[in-house]
Amino acid sequence: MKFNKSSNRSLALILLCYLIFATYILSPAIIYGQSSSLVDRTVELKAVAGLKYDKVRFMVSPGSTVRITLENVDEMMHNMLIVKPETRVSVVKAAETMGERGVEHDFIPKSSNVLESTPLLGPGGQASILFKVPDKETVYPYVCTYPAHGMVMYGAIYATRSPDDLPPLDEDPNIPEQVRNQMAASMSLHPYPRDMPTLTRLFMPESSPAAIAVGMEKEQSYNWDAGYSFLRYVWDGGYIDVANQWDGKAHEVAKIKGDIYYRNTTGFPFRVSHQDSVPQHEFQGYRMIDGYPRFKYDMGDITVSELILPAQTTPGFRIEYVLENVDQPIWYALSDNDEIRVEVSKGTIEGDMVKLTPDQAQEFTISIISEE
Amino acid sequence: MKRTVLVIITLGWFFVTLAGCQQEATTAESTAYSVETIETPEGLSVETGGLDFLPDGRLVACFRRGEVMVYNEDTKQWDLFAYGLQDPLGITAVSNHEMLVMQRAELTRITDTDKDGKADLYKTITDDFGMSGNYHEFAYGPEIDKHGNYYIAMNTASALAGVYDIIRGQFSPAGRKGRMYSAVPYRGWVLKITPDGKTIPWASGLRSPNGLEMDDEGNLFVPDNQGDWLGTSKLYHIERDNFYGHAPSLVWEEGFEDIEPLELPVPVLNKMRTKAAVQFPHGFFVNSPTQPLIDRTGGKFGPFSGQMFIGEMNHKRIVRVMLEEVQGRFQGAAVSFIDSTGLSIGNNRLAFSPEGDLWVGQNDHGWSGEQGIQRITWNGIVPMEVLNMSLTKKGFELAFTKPVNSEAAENPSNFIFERYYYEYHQAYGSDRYGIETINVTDAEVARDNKTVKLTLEKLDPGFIYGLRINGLSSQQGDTLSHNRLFYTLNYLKK
Repeated sequence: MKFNKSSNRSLALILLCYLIFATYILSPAIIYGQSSSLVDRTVELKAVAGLKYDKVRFMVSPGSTVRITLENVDEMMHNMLIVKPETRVSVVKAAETMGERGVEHDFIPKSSNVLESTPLLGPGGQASILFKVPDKETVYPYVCTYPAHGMVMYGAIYATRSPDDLPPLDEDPNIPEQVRNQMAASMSLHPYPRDMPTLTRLFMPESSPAAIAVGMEKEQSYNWDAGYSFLRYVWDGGYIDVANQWDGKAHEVAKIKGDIYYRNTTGFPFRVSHQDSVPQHEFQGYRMIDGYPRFKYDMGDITVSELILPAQTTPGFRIEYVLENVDQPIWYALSDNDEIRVEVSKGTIEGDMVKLTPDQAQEFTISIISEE
Repeated sequence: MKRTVLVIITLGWFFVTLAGCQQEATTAESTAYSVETIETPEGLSVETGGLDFLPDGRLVACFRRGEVMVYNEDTKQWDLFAYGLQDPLGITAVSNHEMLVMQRAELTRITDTDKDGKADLYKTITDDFGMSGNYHEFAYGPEIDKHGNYYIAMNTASALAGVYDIIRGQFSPAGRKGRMYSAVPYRGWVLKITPDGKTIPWASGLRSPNGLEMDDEGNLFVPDNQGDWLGTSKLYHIERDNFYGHAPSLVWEEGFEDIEPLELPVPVLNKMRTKAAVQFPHGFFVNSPTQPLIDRTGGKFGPFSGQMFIGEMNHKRIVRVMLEEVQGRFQGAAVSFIDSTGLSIGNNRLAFSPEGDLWVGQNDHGWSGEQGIQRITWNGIVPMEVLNMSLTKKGFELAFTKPVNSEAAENPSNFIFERYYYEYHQAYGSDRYGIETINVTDAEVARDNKTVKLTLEKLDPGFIYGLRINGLSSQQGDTLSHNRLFYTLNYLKK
């Protein structure tokens, strides 16, 4: 990830505008409250530094008439075209083929996909357009078609009657990826987007204070307790809410977002040589494998590698074990969870234990699928 | 509307800056050193836990929410090296691709094995200490000696919060008692970890040892924070098996299995403890000392080469420490190094760049403090300062950075000493006791006009000798930048 001053400033601008936008424009009373006048509402857009519009999306009511004003506060030339759903890329490409005669046509290609457009604006320039929103609920892209701008400088007009159904800003496919990432970064409390998989060491509920919270793909997350070298629990539906812990002095543990469907009920799961002999174990760290931690710990002379991944069907996960230096039988204690299906790649299940020969124990997988 | 807001912010900042400049213009401090704030990435909570420089000259810093980031000053670019760490409060660069990081839970070697700029291997060096879940159980370090041993320090827990149901390590009910407590091993200790990973409890009796520094002879120094058992904040010279005074950590001392440390008579504990090399008078001078750092810039940072700087959380201040050995033990004086010139509060971490600039990482961490990173640069101008304060048989010798105006320096009444001590007891902090003005009976200026020998009417161990110097300037007329010094007199010169 790279960071520099200009993107910081741009992000600040975007956040500021988003705040204004969220406060005044997202308010349903303002959006839907006025229908008697010719123009139902006015939306103010700005072209800002960093190839961006200050708003990356806004909502309109299907069938309404909206005035959109554009002010160019950047130092470059910009325009703004509203185009038919899913046609942004083709309109941008058509504009690029206009070449040197593009300027005299404001880089507006002759295309039925273009619904409305402003002229090309120099620094400080302003324009306004009326957009008669069709009755259908859909998403209309708006875009700057000045050469090399259109692939990043765009936004989305949501013609919708269900303002609550918009995707979260950091997951909206209709807004530029750069903005999406920046929004995600500001919401994730880090200077980088919180993409899954991810890992955070912090205080977690039902755990020793040496917890490792891992967020996986498919909304599966788990807490691996480095204080005891075993998986504590797994949940479905999200990652963690860290606000309480990071707001002040870390009095509070992080909150789990979602539902726990698997809990360790046996403690450290391995038994070496005998079914009831729990070995001494010592945490050694982890290696990142495609964003997932592969934990390593010693039990006596045996070194265990443990990689936890989301299962094909979720809620569910699998644990891939690799044991080095095994010359005795290994037992693996299964935890007691309701509505869980357990599959083991090797060994035999004896009661609540999996029995593995030294050979089998070198590499085996435990899969746990929720059947709720 | 947006533009207006930005303009107002900018103007506001400008006025603040302007006001700051006007204020600074009246002090000599601002001309020798300047302070610059480093821009940090959007979205980063700049609670600085550690700073160091890579062999290639880039800065590496770790932050409270677990990021390790590398800053290239030439491109002003921040890159993420590692993430997800637990409240890291110390970082040491081993190479351009490998760092040692002290997390709450462990000391970790973090390596970018495929050299793509991102760490991929997190190897636990030691986690052989307890965690109760109390938020105050910070971990500091590592400091590394020339044999490759690591030294780390364990904060005690706070009675303002409890312990978890599931803890790591053994629980001690006796250690759980007290205002700041040691319910799990080795809270309140310095630990030594050998290169092969063996953890040795090294010294006890610490409360909040927020930073470690070893000098070139292998002497380890650690600060501690005013509170229970600490009448005022201190700097200790840490030696094996010593006990430094904060009682609860004694539960983890060998042979103390059946002893309740808090039941021990204070005179016994007082006899057991090793006194601080330097005490920092509380409130008006220092509230919370942080990382000590020796100036090894060889003069790139001004005239204080070989001396020690210490950060301070609650003042816009960095402290300078002048140590000497008297009767084989360290003691010495403290003075403000910088306390305006645009420095923030919250000065938690220090590191010298290869160019000899002092980088300061700030932190608040839920306390009073500030977030950010600043850089202090020496402008090549020698400030008028007391370069060194040392004990003599009859009083003190002051060495100055520049020749003094001998007329003022020969006048004993320009040197005003006040001595006092802080009580050693379980209670939080201490008043100053035995406050007494000590007269200077003679001030003798050396032939080069750079040193002044002061004779005091009373010189006794067990006191802080606070000195205020009035009306002194250099021969060129530069006024003394910092005129208040505090010498901790534990032992007399023989």
